[in-house]
Amino acid sequence: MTDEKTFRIGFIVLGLFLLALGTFLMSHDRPQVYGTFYAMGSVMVIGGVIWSMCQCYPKIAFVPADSDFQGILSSKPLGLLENGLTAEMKSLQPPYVRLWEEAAYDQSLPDFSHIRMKVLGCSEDPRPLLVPERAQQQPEACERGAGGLPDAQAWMEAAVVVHRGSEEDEGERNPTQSRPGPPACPQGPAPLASFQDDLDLGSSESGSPNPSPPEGEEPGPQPREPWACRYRLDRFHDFALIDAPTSEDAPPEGQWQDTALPSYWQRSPRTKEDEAASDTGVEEPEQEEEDLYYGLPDSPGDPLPDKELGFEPDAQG
Amino acid sequence: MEELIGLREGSSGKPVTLQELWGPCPHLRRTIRGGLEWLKQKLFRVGEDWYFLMTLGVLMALISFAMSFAVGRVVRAHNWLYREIGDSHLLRYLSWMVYPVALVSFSSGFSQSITPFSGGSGIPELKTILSGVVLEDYLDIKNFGAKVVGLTCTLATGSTIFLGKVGPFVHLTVMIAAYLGRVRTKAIGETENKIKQNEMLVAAAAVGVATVFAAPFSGVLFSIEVMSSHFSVWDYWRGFFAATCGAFMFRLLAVFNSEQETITSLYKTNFRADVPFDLPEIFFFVAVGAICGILSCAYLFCQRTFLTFVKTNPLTSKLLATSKPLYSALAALVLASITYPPGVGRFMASRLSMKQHLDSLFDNNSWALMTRNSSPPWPKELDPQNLWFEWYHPQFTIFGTLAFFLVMKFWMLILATTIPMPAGYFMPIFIFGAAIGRLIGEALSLAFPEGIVAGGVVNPIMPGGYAVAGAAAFSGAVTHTISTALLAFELTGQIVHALPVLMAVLMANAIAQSCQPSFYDGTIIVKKLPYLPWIRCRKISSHRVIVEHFMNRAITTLAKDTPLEEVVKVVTSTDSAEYPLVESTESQILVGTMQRAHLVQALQVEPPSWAPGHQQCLQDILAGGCPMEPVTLQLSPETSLHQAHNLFELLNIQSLFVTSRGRAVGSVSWVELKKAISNVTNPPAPK
Repeated sequence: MTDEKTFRIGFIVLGLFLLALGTFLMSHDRPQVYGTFYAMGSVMVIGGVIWSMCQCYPKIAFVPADSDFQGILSSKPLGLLENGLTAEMKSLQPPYVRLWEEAAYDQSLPDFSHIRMKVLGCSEDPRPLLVPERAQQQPEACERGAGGLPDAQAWMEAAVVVHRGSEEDEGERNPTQSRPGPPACPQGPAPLASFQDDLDLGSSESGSPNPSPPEGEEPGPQPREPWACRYRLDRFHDFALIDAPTSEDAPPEGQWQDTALPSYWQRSPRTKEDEAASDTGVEEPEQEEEDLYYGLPDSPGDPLPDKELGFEPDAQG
Repeated sequence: MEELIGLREGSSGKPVTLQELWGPCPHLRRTIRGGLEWLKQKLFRVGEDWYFLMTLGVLMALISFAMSFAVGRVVRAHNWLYREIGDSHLLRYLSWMVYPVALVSFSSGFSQSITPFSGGSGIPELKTILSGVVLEDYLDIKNFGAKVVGLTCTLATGSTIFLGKVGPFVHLTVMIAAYLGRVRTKAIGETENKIKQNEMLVAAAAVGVATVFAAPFSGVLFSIEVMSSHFSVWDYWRGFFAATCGAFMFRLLAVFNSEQETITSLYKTNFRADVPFDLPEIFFFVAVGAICGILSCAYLFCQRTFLTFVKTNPLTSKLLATSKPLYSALAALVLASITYPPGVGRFMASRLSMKQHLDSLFDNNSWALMTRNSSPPWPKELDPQNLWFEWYHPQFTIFGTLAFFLVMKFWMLILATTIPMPAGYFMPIFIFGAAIGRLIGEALSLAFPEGIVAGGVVNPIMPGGYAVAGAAAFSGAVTHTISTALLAFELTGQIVHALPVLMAVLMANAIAQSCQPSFYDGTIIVKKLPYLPWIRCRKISSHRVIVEHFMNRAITTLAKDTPLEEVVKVVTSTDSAEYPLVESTESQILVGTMQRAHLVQALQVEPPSWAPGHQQCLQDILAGGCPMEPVTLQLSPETSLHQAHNLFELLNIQSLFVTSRGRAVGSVSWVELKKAISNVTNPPAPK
């Protein structure tokens, strides 16, 4: 949820602002005034920080279903999707291996150091559900990887299919390029599937989230990009339609277009660097398991830029 | 993408979403989420909008107050420096000049580096956005910081650069409102709805103006007049609610800051309330209005011409393109040098800040009468009790000073409006109008020392009242609004001059509206933003113009049974953004529209193999999932121009198709409407 990240940051900034205002208003004969501001400001800052910290995700490789699970999946379409885009998506979902971690449920952050990941090509057979035996309960929620290894370690191999979105490694986006099929097979070491928000790719072991590059603000996840930029161009064409015949010179409209389009395209090199940075994490799965994050397999038809699916817990229900 | 759900291994029950299963401490999260849901249900029974409107009002009041506070501190620091620097002319000139130059160039450079949208007043672009056009990224929250910092720096220069706060602050408010709208969508859990989003923006525009002046009534009315053509009563209530919350918070903060004892108006005046003016004075008030109207036409024309000149002149346009801070610094240098108090600034009362300008111009004494015999000294430092001493010069008297102020500020203000930094342009013209009114009032006071009605009770003329009328009239004429009259009363706290001021404003508007587009419309024209003009000419003949006369007949329709090659040919040869989809080539019954981008994408997809011999047509693409928007509104060729125009304005539409008995015969968009309106207003000469 790119929006939620801006909400969290906005909340903290607002708290800081109230603190600053309370400092301005400080007058010793009326302590209740600045006391109120300080109280509200600190509550908001602390609340915002806790909210941000609780957004840290377990870095689990999740790749959905075998056949019977697909049934459950399709029975619950996302209510927010509109007009037929689901149809597009369904036809394009590749078969995936499901990786199931019992430790993920009812636990604090699962610690995957005991799992040796093996990167598979997608031609492999789907593995059956794996159940690691994790005896440990970790009550502390937010420290990712900070907890020690559970005592009862069962080393097992987890089959992980790394999905390489076809859009992630392109510097240029061709908006009119159709996406007829899923990426057939990841070639070589695959970059992380991008999940456009503050899911901190290659990020720290500490609980504090590191801010992802500012691309998070705009709908820009690569799988969604072509749709998003089509959408953007549509709006633009409305605009251009109105103004094009009347004005004598093109540059002012061009100027609007240029300012929007380049700023949009500019994000792609940034995200690309991000992917590149996290690529290295993939190369050494054994050493850097905490860095591995495989989001939901973003099928190439993933459309809606601002509908976050899956991992971001919706604190507001 | 579908939401993935799952089950814990070995557990039974309904599958739940994975985020619930895999988040840290799911019990706590569930509890928190449940608590929030309960809270949401209880709170939002009233309707969630009101909370967000209140938040918007309070937030903008806080921001406005913080900005005023910061500006006040910076100005105090500058005054202290100017005082303490000693008597060397060079040093004093430097301290007077470097400060605005540095602030202006920083403001310009900083805000432009973050976003190019941050320059100028935001109101023309907001007007365009509220009329339905989508300007990408204009309301992005990341422009917020740039604009706040830029605006604070602009305001900190004070009366040297002579710019105000309204425009960018309204932009800030609308940005926050767009942001809060997204928060609201998230909190309620509904999908984004463009209409509801627009409602929030309209209320935000009202709040912005109201917060700047801490004047809820006139703020809401001013924003309605400037930014909308149609305004629903529902938005009116929301705007008032938010504006009142904001105004209350703003004044409350002023009290907390010990600036004031209680909540009062910003520029308090002290006119005598029993007989503020005599009946014959109304004629002079109307004359003030007429003069303000004429001067406003001159101002608008010169400002637009100069703006175009700056954009087209090779030297300045190159300077603006390569280095905006340099241009801003040069302009600030010119302005600061002229307002240097020991120099030319002595004749322009340049030591006064913007607030002090208004306070002194609304003074309830008659300066002409007071200086007829005595000659007050020019104090070394500003005397807060007798601000009007600034306006007095022994040789030139107040008339010379006021006239010089008007002449110089006219072109200085026009120069300042071309600086590419966030700045509002309302307050300077308000002050300018107050000076015009004051000059006329002082002249009248000198001409009629005993008041106009001779015999009986002596009611001397109060030039302060004329200043209020002049301020309201000039600013109303420049912005084509009438609510500046109410604004003048809310700012001064006294409504004793209600009728004459209103008449002056009406007169000024009558002159200005028939000669020039308003300030914001002029900016829209210069920046070539899309806009739909009003139909100002309401002659009978204009009611006879129907859509058939001006619609665009050259539309290319795509029928469902068109072969694909022809579709490709049509799409590549024309460049419209959407194509009307008709049922079949003979019937031409309009069924929907297709967006160009979708069509292009669908055409490029490899089609599945069909039976050979079956010619593929558009129907197949549609069946393959290319989206088609159904047609929701159509015009008929017999619809009148006024009806079509009302429809476009009311519903914020950009284009509609014209159908006759179901057949698509043409299209009408803003282009055709503008041409039709201009033909109605200025009928072309008959051949």
